[in-house]
Amino acid sequence: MDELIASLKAWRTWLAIAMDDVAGKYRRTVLGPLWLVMIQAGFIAGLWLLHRNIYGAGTDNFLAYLAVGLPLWSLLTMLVVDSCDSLLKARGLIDSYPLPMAVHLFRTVATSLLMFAHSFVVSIVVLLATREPLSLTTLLFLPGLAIIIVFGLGLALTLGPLAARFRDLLPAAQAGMNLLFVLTPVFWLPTPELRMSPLLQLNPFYHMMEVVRGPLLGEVAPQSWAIASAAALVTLVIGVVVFIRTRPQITFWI
Amino acid sequence: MAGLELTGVTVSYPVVLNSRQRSALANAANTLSFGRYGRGANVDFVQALTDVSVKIAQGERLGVIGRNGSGKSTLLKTAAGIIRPSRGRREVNGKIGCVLNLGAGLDPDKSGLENMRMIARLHGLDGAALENAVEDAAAFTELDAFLEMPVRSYSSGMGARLNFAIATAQRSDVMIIDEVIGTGDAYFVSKAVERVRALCDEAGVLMLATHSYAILKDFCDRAVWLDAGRVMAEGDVDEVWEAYYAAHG
Repeated sequence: MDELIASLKAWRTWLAIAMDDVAGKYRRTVLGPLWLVMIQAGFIAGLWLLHRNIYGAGTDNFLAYLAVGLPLWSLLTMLVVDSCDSLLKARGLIDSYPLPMAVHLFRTVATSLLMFAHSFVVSIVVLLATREPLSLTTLLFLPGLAIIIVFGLGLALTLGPLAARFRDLLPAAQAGMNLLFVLTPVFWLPTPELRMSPLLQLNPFYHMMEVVRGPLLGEVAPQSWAIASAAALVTLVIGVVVFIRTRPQITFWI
Repeated sequence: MAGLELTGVTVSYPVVLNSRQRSALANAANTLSFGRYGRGANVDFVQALTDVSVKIAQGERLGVIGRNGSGKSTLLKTAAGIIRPSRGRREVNGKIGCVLNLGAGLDPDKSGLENMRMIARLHGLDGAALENAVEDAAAFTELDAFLEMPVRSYSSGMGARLNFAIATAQRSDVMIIDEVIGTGDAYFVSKAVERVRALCDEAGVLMLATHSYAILKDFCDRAVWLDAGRVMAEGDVDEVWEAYYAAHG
């Protein structure tokens, strides 16, 4: 537990490495961070055009739904998949510098959030351009994001050490998130019946999406807030237990 | 008062020989079938250190000698807190500084200065201490305009100077140093020796691993000889070196 607190206190270190990770993705390119924004914008525009051609314009603001949902899904995917890779990627640093171990896990969460901040620019632009009504409810997306951060910390503390020990967790997580991308309403709209079905109610990623996407699109589903908060807290507790129990072996596993 | 004490430390490494040992599926099958399926998923352990006790009080400089694979690096990493011992206790008073693997965290696409800033941060520096360390290291490298260029454009000698300079720009109460002197030309080596001397003089406690008698004699007032993870001798530098030399020539 002391090491977790020491890791949190070393926030300047993990934030600096995370910023460096993000900068490394577009270092030596002319457009720089714009690339990250454009990649997301291109994907959103492509899916929206496809949807329009198949289903017509419709009445829903599907463009805003996609513009908020896709960056959010990317964030959730990064939190899961990059967590699996976080300690293995930091092997050289772990072996050479006496940093508290969880620094490398918090770095991954911070990197994912910084990447999300880039693509969230597209969400904001689309929300403003499509004149999605903004109210005080909209601001609820901030506590929603806080829930996702807690969830992400729990995932990193759980998956980082376990995936260092068991190398098949990373490909399993990638395959799992691909499947969940299709099963979770990210690029499709669920019917009211489907919203209440076990397929979505038992999917924590659906509720994580809802606590941020809902407020931004003017909807608040109390059930999703309750489930997302509980899932985030449980994941964090599991993460803390896994991290503390596996910490002595991590150096040997990587 | 700075101090470092390891008491009865044993470190066991898991030795992974095949992918089955790293597989969650194979391990789950092995556990659930009580060993019938997923055979070979169990991992064997080797002891890198066995019941090692070392105490370094304020002002003491301990040299660690031994052949390759004797456990020197494991001892240093355990002292630094990077490796957690399977048994035994570690007590540290004061801030720890390490010079272990030079160049870890170096990004060839970034400039020398950018790299030094990041590595200084990995050494736990920030604010004015970080800027001072980078400035000091930059002057030591004598790389001047090259510091603004990407590290991939450096020769191996220039890279070694950069790595050494920033790794030794930190100041800590407890310094743990692996064999780092000896890269570069004669001029640089003599500069490097002086730099490590200054680093050691400022530290309250020093633990230094080396293969060189000259460095051991120069920097340390006590030595410990490790062989196959066990302490073979400890005490006066000359006596320990003679015992080591007599055993391994």
